[in-house]
Amino acid sequence: MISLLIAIPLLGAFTSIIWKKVTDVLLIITPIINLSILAILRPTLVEHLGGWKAPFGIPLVLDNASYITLFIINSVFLLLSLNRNLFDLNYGTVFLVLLTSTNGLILTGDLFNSFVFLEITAVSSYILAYHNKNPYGAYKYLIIGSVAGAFYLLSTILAYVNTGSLNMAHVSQTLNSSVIPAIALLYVVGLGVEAKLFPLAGWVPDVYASGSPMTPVILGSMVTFTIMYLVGRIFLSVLHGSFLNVLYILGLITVVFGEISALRQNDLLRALAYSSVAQAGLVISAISLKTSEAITAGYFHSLNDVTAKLILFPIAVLISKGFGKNKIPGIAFSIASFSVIGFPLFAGFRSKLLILLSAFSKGDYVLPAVLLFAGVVEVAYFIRWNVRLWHESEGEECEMKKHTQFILLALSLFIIYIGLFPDLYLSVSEKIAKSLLNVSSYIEAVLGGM
Amino acid sequence: MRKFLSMLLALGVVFVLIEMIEPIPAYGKVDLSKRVSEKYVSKSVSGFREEVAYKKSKNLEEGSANVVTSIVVNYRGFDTLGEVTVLFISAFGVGLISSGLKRKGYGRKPNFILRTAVGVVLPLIILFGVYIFVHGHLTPGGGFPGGTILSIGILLLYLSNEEYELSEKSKVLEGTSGSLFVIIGLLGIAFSGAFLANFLPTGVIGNLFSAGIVPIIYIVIGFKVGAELSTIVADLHKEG
Amino acid sequence: MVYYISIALIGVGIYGLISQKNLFKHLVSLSIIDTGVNIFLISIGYVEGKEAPIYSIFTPTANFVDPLPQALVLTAIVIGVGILALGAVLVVRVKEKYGTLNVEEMKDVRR
Repeated sequence: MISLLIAIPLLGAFTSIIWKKVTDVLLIITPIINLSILAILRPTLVEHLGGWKAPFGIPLVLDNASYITLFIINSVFLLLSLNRNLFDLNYGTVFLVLLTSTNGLILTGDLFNSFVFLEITAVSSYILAYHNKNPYGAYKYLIIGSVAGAFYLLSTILAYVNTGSLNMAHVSQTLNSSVIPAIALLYVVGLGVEAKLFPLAGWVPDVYASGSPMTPVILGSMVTFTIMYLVGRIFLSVLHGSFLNVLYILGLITVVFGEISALRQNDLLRALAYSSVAQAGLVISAISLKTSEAITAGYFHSLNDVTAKLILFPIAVLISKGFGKNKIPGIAFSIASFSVIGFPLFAGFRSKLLILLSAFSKGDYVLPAVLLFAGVVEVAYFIRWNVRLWHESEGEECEMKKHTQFILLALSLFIIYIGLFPDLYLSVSEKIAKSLLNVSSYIEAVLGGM
Repeated sequence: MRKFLSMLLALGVVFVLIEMIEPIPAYGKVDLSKRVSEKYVSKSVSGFREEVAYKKSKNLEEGSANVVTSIVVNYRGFDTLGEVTVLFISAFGVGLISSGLKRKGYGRKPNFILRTAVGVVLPLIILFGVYIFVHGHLTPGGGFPGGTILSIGILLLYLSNEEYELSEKSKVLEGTSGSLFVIIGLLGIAFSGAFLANFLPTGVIGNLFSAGIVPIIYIVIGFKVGAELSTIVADLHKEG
Repeated sequence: MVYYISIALIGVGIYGLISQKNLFKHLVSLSIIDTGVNIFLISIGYVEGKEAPIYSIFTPTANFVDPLPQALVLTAIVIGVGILALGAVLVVRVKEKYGTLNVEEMKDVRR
């Protein structure tokens, strides 16, 4: 049954190329079908594809972490496909394939299979990056993303040579700890491009700030959260949480670099792109602290960032003339930007506070210092942008449909709700963290007492 | 200056990689019993062990004589589904990005030898391509090289005729083959309880009609890859 | 040894990627890196004295090299071809939009 989560969007993609008219119906039906399949299944279920047992076949693993991440990804996709005016329906097939590949990345239990699905996600992102006549940004992204894919494949080969199989659980069990630094370094290069780590994040401004209303929304929410899950799965479950110092240092440098670059921008979209880079760096640093509390804080912050960017990017693209006549999007934009800064009462405050507390309890003082520095810089440029946009009162009526405006306003009120009662996001992130750290039950579920 | 720095970076990467391959066993001296491939070769993944002999063993768990085919289509068939999807989405992306461009001419009339030879060589090329992917489970090759050869026939048509355009029916062929692949996988759930399970009998190893669903999947993949690569060839012939 | 040749290819590709100014040469360097990784992947499966992994008249019983890297490299080559096609059509569009494929000249046009 788990394989239906991947087979049905793929079947939808193949049929949407025969009949173009059926695409927009499929874009809404497919996530609804996926969510109803998820409602029937319960975690810790392993399906061995083709009937061949692991480590000889490919398993699809539905444990707590993947269950919740799947739920989040499919819900975000459903939310996005309800706002049709942001989307160019010529790209409908690409969205369905992107849904297939993110579901596959989350579910798979095999290293080479994750490489294949990572490449499918990457190719779909290159095509989406082209939207709004942006060939040079898409080309830069393609070159650096493909080199990263080659390094990911290289580290998978090294894992195969050392352990004799490609299965994540089997590799985690039998990997010789003397080769872990080599494999982990190659994985850092391989995943660092998609996870927007310094110095491999040069593609982000050109892709996110192309003026397209759908590219940064999809790439910054679905793909980013899937990659954060994959980083957690590979570095915590497969490699047993070693070599995380490099991720920690790179994450901190990314935060500093992202915030300073965002401060210097005159273009709102590029500032938001650099802010995405900085938030991704913060999440990676929090995950690399390796305690259960810190990983929970990292995923909580990533969820908040996804929610905030879902609001910030469409408004920034479609409403560049000012909030004078567009009060509803303006309120949503301001609430989301306060959440990214981390004002009390908004969701961002809760996640940043949790990151601070978990870093202190581990005895670490560098991460809190960088976090506070980043917060100060964010206050500077977000307040400046809000003031600038609210003061231009001669702006015209915006091009956003009414129902999109209300959905964005509802999302921003949801942010305030999470800020007051953080239990929903917090418990979700805690389940992800505990499940990623619980390597022995993962191995037991997949290999089944072999 | 830039060349000097890039040379340093490339040399640095080369040294790091040479360090990383120290613990690998020497070239040619691999012990196969430590790897999963040993079970793939002796076709004993489900535990039942029997000596496999060409044209003698019947009803093995996996009946194709080409062991690489058995891995690609049967044991790790999900990877092949992903690979077919990569080709599909990149062919779609090429078509999407190059929409609005027109067919590029070569500027001179194609050679007389080329124009007459196409009529003779093209049916042979198509026959060869189909032969390779139908016999994918017996000889080297399979769906992917077979489909590539089909698309080379289309390239030859493009080279020899300035007005030739690939018809829209190739998209229908592409979509249908892809859906057939997923539907065969779903039939595996219906008949044997697992996605992409082999539900047809496997016969005698080495015969043409053996190995269950493997030749069927390779035929589907052959047509799909042929249609996709032909679409890419057609779209790269355009210019603004 | 074959391993060193493949690592040298990866090094040549990275050098080409960073030092060249023409966008099309970046695509060629990417293709060289992919080729290097594929050669490395195949060469770890070789066992001395054994045959190609196909049951046939010449090898009726098993005496084979490792078939798994060959299956993996089939997938990796196809993925490389797909990415190369996408990169080529993007280069066509860049040339049409900016008129040049040189990174330095494009910097002046974009500002």
